[in-house]
Amino acid sequence: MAKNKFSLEDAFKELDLIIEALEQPDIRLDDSMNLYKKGVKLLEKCNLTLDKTEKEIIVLQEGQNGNIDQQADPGKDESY
Amino acid sequence: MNHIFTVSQLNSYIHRIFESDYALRMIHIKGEISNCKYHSSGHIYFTLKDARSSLKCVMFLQNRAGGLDFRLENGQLVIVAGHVSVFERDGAYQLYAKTISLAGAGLLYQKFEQLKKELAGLGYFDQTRKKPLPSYPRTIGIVTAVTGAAIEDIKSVAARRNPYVQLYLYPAKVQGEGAASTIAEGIRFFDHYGVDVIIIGRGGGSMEDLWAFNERIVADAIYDAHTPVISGTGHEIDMTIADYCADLRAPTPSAACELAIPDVFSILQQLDRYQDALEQRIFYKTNQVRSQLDTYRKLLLANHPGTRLERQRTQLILYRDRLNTLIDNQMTRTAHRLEFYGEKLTALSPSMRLRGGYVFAQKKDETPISSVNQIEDKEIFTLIFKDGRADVESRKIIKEEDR
Repeated sequence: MAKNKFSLEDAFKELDLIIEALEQPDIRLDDSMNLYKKGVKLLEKCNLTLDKTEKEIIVLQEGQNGNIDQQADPGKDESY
Repeated sequence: MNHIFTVSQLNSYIHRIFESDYALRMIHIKGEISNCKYHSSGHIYFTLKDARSSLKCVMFLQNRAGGLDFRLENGQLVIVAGHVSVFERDGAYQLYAKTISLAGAGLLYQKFEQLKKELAGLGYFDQTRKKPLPSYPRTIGIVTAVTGAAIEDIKSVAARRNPYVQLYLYPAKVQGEGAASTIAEGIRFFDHYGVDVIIIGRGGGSMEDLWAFNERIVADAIYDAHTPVISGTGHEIDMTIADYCADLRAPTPSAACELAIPDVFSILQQLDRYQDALEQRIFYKTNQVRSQLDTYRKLLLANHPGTRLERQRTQLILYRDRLNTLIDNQMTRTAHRLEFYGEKLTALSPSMRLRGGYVFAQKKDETPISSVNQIEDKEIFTLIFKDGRADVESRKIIKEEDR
C-alpha cells in the first residue's frame, strides 16, 4: 500500500547503514552525533510503528443486499 | 424323461438371451475399479464394484484409443459404457467396455487437471508474476469459514507470533454450492479495501471438500488481486488450483499465517540490538574524542607560559643549587689548601729551625746575617735562640777563603 511511507524494512536498512557509517574510524564527531541522533529517532519511530496494542480479530458481516458491514474499516487505519 | 443338454448348449443359449436383450447392448455402469490388470495383450481386465456387488469387465485393446484417456487404477470411481454379454467358456457374463470415464472425485480430478493445464497456459502460475510478501504486514485479510479449525489455528498463531497484527475475517463458504463465489468475493473485497496480505484457506478434506479452491472464479480473483495472496488449503500433499495461483502456498491455514506474520518478538529483539549497536558506537566515538581531547589538553598545558615559567624557575633552582655546591666545594678545597700551607709554613718558620742547637743571627737593625762578610770586628749583633736572645760581640772574623 502506497500510504505506508514508513516501513520497518526500510528503517532496518537505514539503521544498518548508519551503524556502518558510525564504525568508520575517521568519522567526524559532529557527523557521528548526527548519525546517532538519526538512528535513535529511527528506532523511536520503529517502536511507534509497532503499535503495541493487542488486536482482536474483526469479523466482517454480510448485511442486506450483499453489502459488507464491518466493525472497523481496515482502509481507514492511518496510524500505521 | 427330460431332455439333457450339454454345458456348451446352455451357455450358448444364455449367450443368445443376453445378445437379444436391448438394454444390455449399450449400458452405462457406475462403479469402483478393483482387480485392475493391464494384460500384455493390451486388453484391460478389471472388476467394477459398489457396496454390494461386483461385475467383471474387460476393455479390448482396439477400444482403448477412443474410449479411455487416463490410466485405470484400483479405487477410481468410473462410468463404463459398453454391452453385457456371456463368455461361454467360463459360463460367466461380463461387461465389454467401449468407453470409460471418471466419475465423482475421478471426474473432479480430470476437471482439475484440465483447468490446471489451461491456467498454466494462460500464465496464471508464472513465478515471475508472484508478488512479494511485505515483511512486516499490519493488516491481514482472511477468507475462510467463520467456524472451523482453520480460523482458530490462524488466531492462535497470530496471537503467539504477533498479537499486534490486525486480522480481518471475511466469512466465506469453503465447501458446497456457492462456496467458490464467496471465496472469490472475499478476495476481491480485501483487495479493494486494502490489507497487506490476504490469506485464503480451509482445513483438510477430500477433493470434493476442497473443490471450491479449484474453481476458475477463485483462480481469477487471485490472479486479478493486487494484494499478495497466500493460499493454505487442505493437506500437505494435495495442491489446489488456488495454491498454484497464489503468490505463496502454505500446506495449511496456520502455516500460511506463520508465513504472513513476522515474529514480533524477533523484531523487538532486532530493535534492541540496533539500539545497543548505536549506543556502543557513539560511546566509543565520544570516548575516542574525549581521550584525544585529553591528549591535547595535556599538550596545551605543557606549553602554557605559566608552566614554562615554572619550569624555568625549577631550572633556575637547579642551577643555583649546583652553583652553591660548586662554590662550597671550592671553599672547602681552598680551606684544606690553606691548612696545608699553614702547616708547611709552620714547618718552615725560623723559630722551628732554631731547635737542635741552631741559632739565628741578625744585626741590630734586624737584618738577617747570612754571611760572615756582613759583620765587622767588634760589631755587636744579636743571636736568637729558640727561647731567647743574646747580644754578642765579634772578636775575630775568620772567613772560609782565609783558611
